[in-house]
Amino acid sequence: MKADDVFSCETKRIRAEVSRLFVGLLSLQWIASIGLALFVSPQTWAGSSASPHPHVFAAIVVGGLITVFPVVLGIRRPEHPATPFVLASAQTCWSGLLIHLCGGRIEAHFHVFGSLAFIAFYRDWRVLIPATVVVAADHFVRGLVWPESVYGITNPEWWRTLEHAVWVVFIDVFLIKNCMDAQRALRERADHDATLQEAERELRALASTLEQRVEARTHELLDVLHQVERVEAIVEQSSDCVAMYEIDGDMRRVGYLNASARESLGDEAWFCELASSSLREPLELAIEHDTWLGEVELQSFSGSSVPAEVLAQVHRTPEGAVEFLSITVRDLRERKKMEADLLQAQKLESIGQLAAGIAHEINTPMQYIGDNTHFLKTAFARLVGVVESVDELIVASEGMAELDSVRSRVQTAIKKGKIRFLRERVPRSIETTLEGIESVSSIVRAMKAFSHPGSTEKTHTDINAAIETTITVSKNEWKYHATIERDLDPAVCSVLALPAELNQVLLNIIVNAAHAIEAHKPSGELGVIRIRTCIEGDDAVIRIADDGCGMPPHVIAKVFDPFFTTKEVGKGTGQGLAIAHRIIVDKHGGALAVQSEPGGGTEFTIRLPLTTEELVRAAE
Amino acid sequence: MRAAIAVWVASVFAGLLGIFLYSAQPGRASEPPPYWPEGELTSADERPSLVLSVHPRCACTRATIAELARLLARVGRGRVSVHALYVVPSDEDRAWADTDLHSRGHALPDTTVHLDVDGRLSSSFGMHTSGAVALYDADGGLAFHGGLTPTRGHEGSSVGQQRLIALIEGEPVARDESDVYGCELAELGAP
Repeated sequence: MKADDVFSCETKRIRAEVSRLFVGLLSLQWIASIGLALFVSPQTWAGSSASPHPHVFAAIVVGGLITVFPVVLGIRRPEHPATPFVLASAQTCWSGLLIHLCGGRIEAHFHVFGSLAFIAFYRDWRVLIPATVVVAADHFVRGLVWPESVYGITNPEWWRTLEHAVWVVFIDVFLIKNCMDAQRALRERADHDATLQEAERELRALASTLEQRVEARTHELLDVLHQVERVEAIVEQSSDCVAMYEIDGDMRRVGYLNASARESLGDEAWFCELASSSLREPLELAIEHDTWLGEVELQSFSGSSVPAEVLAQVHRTPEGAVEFLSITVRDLRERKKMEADLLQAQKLESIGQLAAGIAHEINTPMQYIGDNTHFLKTAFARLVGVVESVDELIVASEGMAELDSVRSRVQTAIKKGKIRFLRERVPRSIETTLEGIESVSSIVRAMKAFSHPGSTEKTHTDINAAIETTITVSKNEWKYHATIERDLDPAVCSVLALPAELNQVLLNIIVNAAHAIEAHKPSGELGVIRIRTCIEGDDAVIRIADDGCGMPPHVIAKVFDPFFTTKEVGKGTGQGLAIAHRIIVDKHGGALAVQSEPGGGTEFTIRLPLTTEELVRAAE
Repeated sequence: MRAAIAVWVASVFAGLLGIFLYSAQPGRASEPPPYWPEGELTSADERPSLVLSVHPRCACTRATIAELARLLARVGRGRVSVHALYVVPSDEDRAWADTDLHSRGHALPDTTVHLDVDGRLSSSFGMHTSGAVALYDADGGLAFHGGLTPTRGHEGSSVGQQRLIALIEGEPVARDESDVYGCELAELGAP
């Protein structure tokens, strides 16, 4: 706001303020004048009869005329430029009326000077003019028309017409000077205020800009802070051990360890110990080359040896001094275990791939071994018949001397050849051999069937046959720990499935069952694996139950998670049941459920949905 | 706004003019005898005697009493003998006249206050208006009659006051009368 505007505003404010004071003053004077008239001259007399004094009417009516309009103006338009002039004139008129009501007392004339002083509250010398003019005009007119009423003489000197007005002018001089001083001070203050307002406006603008900058900067900082918090959370929750190792001259200390580091390696003191032992060389190399990546064997706080991959990076100050090292330690125990498992799996896979060829190679000789053995069996039976005929001939030749020598040689040969022993044992040996050949053949068939690479398309699969095959293949896994009881529903003969993958599922579950029994009965007592198949609703159901160690709820909850295992290293990868679950649920649209309790055994239930055709066939 | 102000100025002017005209309206002029009348009152031997008629309840006469006080102060003590006649109706008791005017009359120097029942004394001096004065010289001859205020109930220098002072101080005056302003004494026994 400019100085003129400030001055104008301040002038208006003063004008309004003083006008409101005048509103009160005029109203008060009106009331007071009525009271004064009623008190001083309530009645006028004509002999002994009285009537209300004209002063009372003058106070009410003329006082009202003087007061009402200016008061209304002062209330409704206190800032109007004309208002002070009207109010000042009214106040001067009130001086005349009050002097009159007071009987022209000299003391009452002081009201004029008081009024002028009051008018000077406007701090505008121009407002004093109408008051002065009213006084001068009153005396001038009356001096001309009726000088006696003003001066008490009929022929006053010419200057006496101005006498009272001169006194008013006399006081006006001081008041006008006062007003002008006040106006000057007001102007100076307006200039000052305008300067201040301008400065304030500039300050506000600056403050606003600053505020915006602070706000923007705060947002940026909050974003950065948020980013830092996220990075911190990532670092804190990282499965790798992360440490900040501060170097200040000869003093070294751990600035930060994330949760994994605290859990896997130990507290800060222990990490310092590591930094001066196992990690000493890597850290020195890192300081030398700014970074170091390699594997070391760390000793955890609990005493276990931890194979770890260490990445140490040097962070330097702008001057190039080493400020701290960030050390990332990756626990390689799991990776090592997985690598061992992978190696084992690759070996098994290689064996599996070889198994088909080996089975084929075994099967061919086994076929002619079997055929020859059957031939030998038949041939031996015939030889036995010959031998029996010889026996009969010997018996029949008894008493025939000419045959004695022959008979004796034959009997000796029979005795030497232990023919009787052979007649008893060879057939049994042949039978046992044939049983062995059949057993080997069945294993070879099972291996062939099991090691078949399988197709990506589902085929009608005999579930019961698949179970038998798997039992055969896995016999070495369970035969020392359990017997297998079967309850296979012939109705479950044909299910649309991926046979190779289904075999994998059955194998995993049966092997797990055997391991569970082994863990539960280490004394050598045989457990039982019960395998049942049946049709339930629209599903073909396979239940494989064992009386092994069972599982607690927290293990059951994770049993289908990848890489979850409770077995010792080298005995399980934690992948078997995860794969089984994926095969049954994802590839067959079925369900794989487990029921178990610690010490109470475990039962896996496989549900495979049947097609309508299969259901009809099963019903038949 | 200008029209409203003009109307206001005109109405205020009219009101004040009305008051002025009322104030300027004199009462009935006195008709005093040329010589001090024989009766209850006696004039002073070696100084002028001033007779003042007062309606005890006339507010306008306060100004007359005040001006008389100034006059007596001006001329000095013992220069004039004043008789203030406070008119009382015969059917009223004395308390009727016991007003502030009565007290002020007693406070005046060289003044004798008289209760003027039914205004008989005032009538003997031909006075009809409260505030009327009549000055008789030491020989009993009428020197002046009229009022002491410039207008009705208004204090201040007036023609009557100046002429009285001049006469008391032995100076010549152009006229021996002035207008008198105050309540009528008519029904209090005045003719």
